Formats: sequence, structure tokens, C-alpha cells
Amino acid sequence: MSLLDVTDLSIGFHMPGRDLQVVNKVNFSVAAGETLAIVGESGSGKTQTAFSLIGLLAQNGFATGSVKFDGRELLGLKESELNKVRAEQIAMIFQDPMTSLNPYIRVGEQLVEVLKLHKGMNRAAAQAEAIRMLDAVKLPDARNIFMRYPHECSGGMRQRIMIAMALLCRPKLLIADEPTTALDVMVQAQMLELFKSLTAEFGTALIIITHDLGVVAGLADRMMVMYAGRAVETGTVDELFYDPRHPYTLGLLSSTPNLEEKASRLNTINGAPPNLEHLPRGCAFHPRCAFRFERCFTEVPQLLDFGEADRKKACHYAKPLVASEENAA
Amino acid sequence: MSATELLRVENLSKTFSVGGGMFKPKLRLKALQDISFSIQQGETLGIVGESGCGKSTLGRCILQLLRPDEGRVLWLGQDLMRLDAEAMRKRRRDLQIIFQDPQASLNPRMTVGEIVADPLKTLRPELNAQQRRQRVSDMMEAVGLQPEMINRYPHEFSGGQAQRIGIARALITEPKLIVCDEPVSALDVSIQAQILNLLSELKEQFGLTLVFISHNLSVVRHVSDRILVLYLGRIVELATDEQLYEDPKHPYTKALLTAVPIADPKRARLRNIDALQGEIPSPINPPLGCTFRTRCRYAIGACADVRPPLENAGDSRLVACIRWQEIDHMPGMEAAEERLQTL
Repeated sequence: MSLLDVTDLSIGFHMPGRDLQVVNKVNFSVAAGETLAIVGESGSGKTQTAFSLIGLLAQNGFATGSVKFDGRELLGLKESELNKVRAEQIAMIFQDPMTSLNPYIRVGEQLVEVLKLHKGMNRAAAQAEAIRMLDAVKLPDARNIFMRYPHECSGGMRQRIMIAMALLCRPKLLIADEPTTALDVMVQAQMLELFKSLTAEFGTALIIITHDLGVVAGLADRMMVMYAGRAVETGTVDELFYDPRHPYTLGLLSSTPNLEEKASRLNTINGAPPNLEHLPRGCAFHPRCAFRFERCFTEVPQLLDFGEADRKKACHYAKPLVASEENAA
Repeated sequence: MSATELLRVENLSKTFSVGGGMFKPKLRLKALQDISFSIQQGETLGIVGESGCGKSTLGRCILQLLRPDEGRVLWLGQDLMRLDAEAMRKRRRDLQIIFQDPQASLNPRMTVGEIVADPLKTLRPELNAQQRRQRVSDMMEAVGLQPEMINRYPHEFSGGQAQRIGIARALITEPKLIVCDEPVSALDVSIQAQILNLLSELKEQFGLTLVFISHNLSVVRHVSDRILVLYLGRIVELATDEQLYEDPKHPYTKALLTAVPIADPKRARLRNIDALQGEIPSPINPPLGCTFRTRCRYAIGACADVRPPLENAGDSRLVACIRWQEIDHMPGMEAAEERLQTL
């Protein structure tokens, strides 16, 4: 059984006079110790999907479907029970390490508080554990950092502190929302290495939300590509990178500039992602798609198996998109 | 000086005063130190480095949006720093900028037409309203916006479209040089590629010269002819795109390149990431000697004694490292590279 099983998850927001649906019947699962990347551009619903798992949607948001964690339904759980699940079972790291720490409280206190509250530790034990965790995220001179205020730490250090805080209660699942987007390339590389070693060391499952395919390639086992609130393709990272079957996945891959070769022109996906309030009829991607045909204009493709173990795509086009000789390489 | 040299920067330095208070002296932050380079007509010069390395400051110093403390900025041989305000304003026709955050750099209370036409009022006052309108609509078409959108406001546009408006505004004065300061970093991947392609098309069409500032090395490689690598306000390497990406000489450039994530899972798994430990030291109190030595795996005692000069490393590439020749022949790096080649 998977650690996390998400079935038919839909998310919407109550707006004045109408409801706006931002995620539409998304299904995925995460096994213990596995890393899943949720990939998509702004407005694809990737962040809201992650937020809804631990009840972090905005006041006017609502989620339907089922989110089973360790066999237990999380959707509709009371706030007090959700609070136990958060941090102890599932922890989250946010994009902006600058605003996720309380500026008035020393770093150490913020960590100790978590352990006292969730683990019932006494102060001395909590302090020792907090310093051990700051060491584990490879912060130099953890004792010194323990006494600092957040503004006395750099961006990279703050992100490490956030990771340490998230791992304090040894959660089974860690959700990281664009954890490296605000960081420089060198710090990003350090952070990705850290994620790899920590998930291995603590056996933590990881959901990483990102738009950066370079991050996905180095870190994830499986990936789910989202477009306009729907999952459009799922499978292992290798399958999707070397043999993408949804034209949007292919477009994302080929519009990513490559460090190792200079192309005179980048391939692009024409147009822009749709406005969620006025989604095109049929497949939401069809106005930008080079493979579209009549059926795409009228019928929304469902995310279905297409005969290759554990892979799914939501596309009417049946054939492989990448020429077969390229697959062989 | 060659005939096609458009811009030459000589020994440029810029220091900011930061902090301070009652009884507390202000600190000197050396944002740029002793920067010299030149840009040829029609060339794209990439400027890369981590945050705080001075890349945006350099862009703004070139355009005289910030006044350098020392050095000269020569535009076709004329020192821009000696021009008075009026003469500089006339020069601005030739020198434009595109900013990072497309939405924030557009006035929300002006229509697109007004935004794009605005530079013309100051820089081309001889044009009448009819001519201005014609130019605006031509320019909107050139950047891929429908001229019918002329009366809309910035909030009605997506990030990619807003950046197109910013580009149209920069192009309307028919500039010779445009400084692009992180023009695509706020955009989604698929939109980013559209804007990069647009910039290279416009460069051809209008014969532009570009200074392309970015922290994203993949993007910079894609657009640049030559690349300048900055570390703590100093040039550490200046080379053509092929020299820099195929055969980096400075240890910082080498480390920077291995840190870029590769969107290829098999290679990403095998890659030995040589991520530098620690972070950039404070520019208020930079290390003596080579500023990079505190993070450099090849640093030796001598690196603390002298500031490495920017040496010619052949084929007009410049490197600021006293050990670049030794490092170049060290094993280890080569072995790692070979392993990648065999994939």
C-alpha cells in the first residue's frame, strides 16, 4: 500500500457570485521513501494540490475527493487533528525561506518549540535534538546558528533551517514547494544534494513541486505533469524525459534551454496557459498543441493507462511523440 | 580601438555606503571593482554571477543610471560620465534597458500605448502624435502584440505579454544597445523560450547589441556570443560562449557550471556535483588577495597574498586566477568529464 493515495482530488475557490475550479480530479500516490515531482507552470494547480493535502487552502478554498495518508482520510479532518498530522506525519517547506520564519524569535527557540509541542520533550532534550538536526542539514556551527535571529542568516541558511524544522519530528512525507526557486545556482545545487541525502538517511518520502525540469531530473523517481488544473501525464522520470507521450510534456522538455549545447532557436510552446475561468472546450491544451485533431476540440481526454506499466497520459493522440530511433539511444 | 567597438568600460568601480547610524560609521560595500571590457557592435555580451556579485549594478553603471565612482564608460569613444544631463538624455535614445519583473516595471495607470510611447516624448520630441501612434503600433506588432491592445492596461496582460510591452518600450527609440537585466527569470519555461527567441529575432531585425544579465547559465549560453563571469564585484573570467562552456578555466566558472541542474535524468544521476561549500562572503569585507580563495578547492597560500590579475589565457579570453594553467592539467576534473562524455 502506498503512503499517500490521492483519488479524484478537486479543488475550487468560492469567488463573489461564482466558484472557480483550479484542480480537476487529480489522482496520484506516493510510496514510502519515494520522491514524486509535480511539474507545471504558474496556474497549473500544482501548489494548490500540495496545499490541500494538509488543509492549507485559503479560507474560501474547498477540496473534494480523497486524500488517504497511511490509510487515514485527511480531507475533512478537524483542525486540531490536522495539526497533529502536520509536522508529525507530513511536513512542508515553502518557496520563500525569508518569510517562513518568525523574525522576532531566535532560530533555536522556533525549533525547540516544535519539539516541545509535538514530541512533549523537555527543554534540554529538545535543544540537543534541534542542534543535532541543524548539524544534519549541514549548517556549519549549529550552536551559533541556534542563537541567531532569522535576519542574521543568509537565504541558503534559512532554507536549511526550514528543512531542519520540517524534519524535526521525523515526518514520513515532506512536501517542498519550489524549495530552490529563490536560491542561487550554487546554493540550489547544495540544497538538492541535501534533499537527496536526507530522504535516504531518514527514509522520508518527498513531494517536490517545481517548474524546473533540471531539478526534477536530478532528484525525483516519478513525476506528474499538470496543465490547467489536470494531471496530463504521469510515470517515472526516465519515461517522461526520454519518451514523453503528452505534447505538453514534450513542449516543456524542448523549451528548456540546455547548458550543453547552443541551439540557434529554442523550441517553444505557442501561446500562453489558459485562463482557468475560460478554459477551452475539449482538451485544455489543444489551442497550443501541434498534434491536435478533431476529437481534441470537443472531448476532454481522461488520464488513462496506455499499455506501458504504470504510465498514464491524458491525450487522444495515440502514437509516441519522439521518433523511435531517439528512444533507443 | 577597432572600428566596430560600441562600448568600452575602463577600470570601473562602484562603492555603496551602507548601514551606519549615530556613533556608527557607514560601511563601504564595494559592488564593482576595476571592471574593464568592451562590446562590439552586434554582439551579445552575457553577464553571469550569483546574487550580490554586482551584475545588475554593472548594467546600471553602463547606462549611467548609477554613477560609477571611478573609471570611464566610453560610448563610441565618448566618455558618458563627462556628459551633462542634457547631453546624456540625448544619448539615452541609443541606450535602453529591459527589466526583470515585467509587471512591476510598467505603470499600472497608463495604457499600453502610453507606456510604449512614453520614451518618445522625451527622446524624440520632434514626432507628432500621429507619428508616435504609428510607431507604437509598428513596434507592438514587431514584439508580437496585437496593435488592438493599445488601449489596455498592464494588469490585463500575462507575464510574457507584459515583458513584450517592456521590450517594445525599449525598442521604440531605435536604440543601438539594450541592457537586458534578467529579462526572463520571472517567466514560465514555455514563455521564457518565446521571449528568448523574440529577443534574438529583434536583434537581427534591428541590428541590436545586447548586454544580457542573468543568473541562469543555460539561458545565457543560449543568447550570448561572449560571457563575463563576475564574483564579488570582480571579473573572474571573460570568454566566448564556446570557450567558457566547453573549457572553463577559472575554478569558479568550473564550479558554477557543474552546479547547473541538467534536465536529463541519466546524466544528472551520474554527475558529480562539485557544489561549492558555503556562500559568497560579504562584499563589505571581502577576502584579501583572490576574493574566491575562501571557497576554492585549489587555493594555496599565495592566493591570499596577491590579487590575481586578469590574464590573457589565449584566444583573447581573460582569466583571473594565478593557478589556471596548473588546474587546467589536473586529473580528476578530466576523469569526471570523460565519464560524462561516454554517456
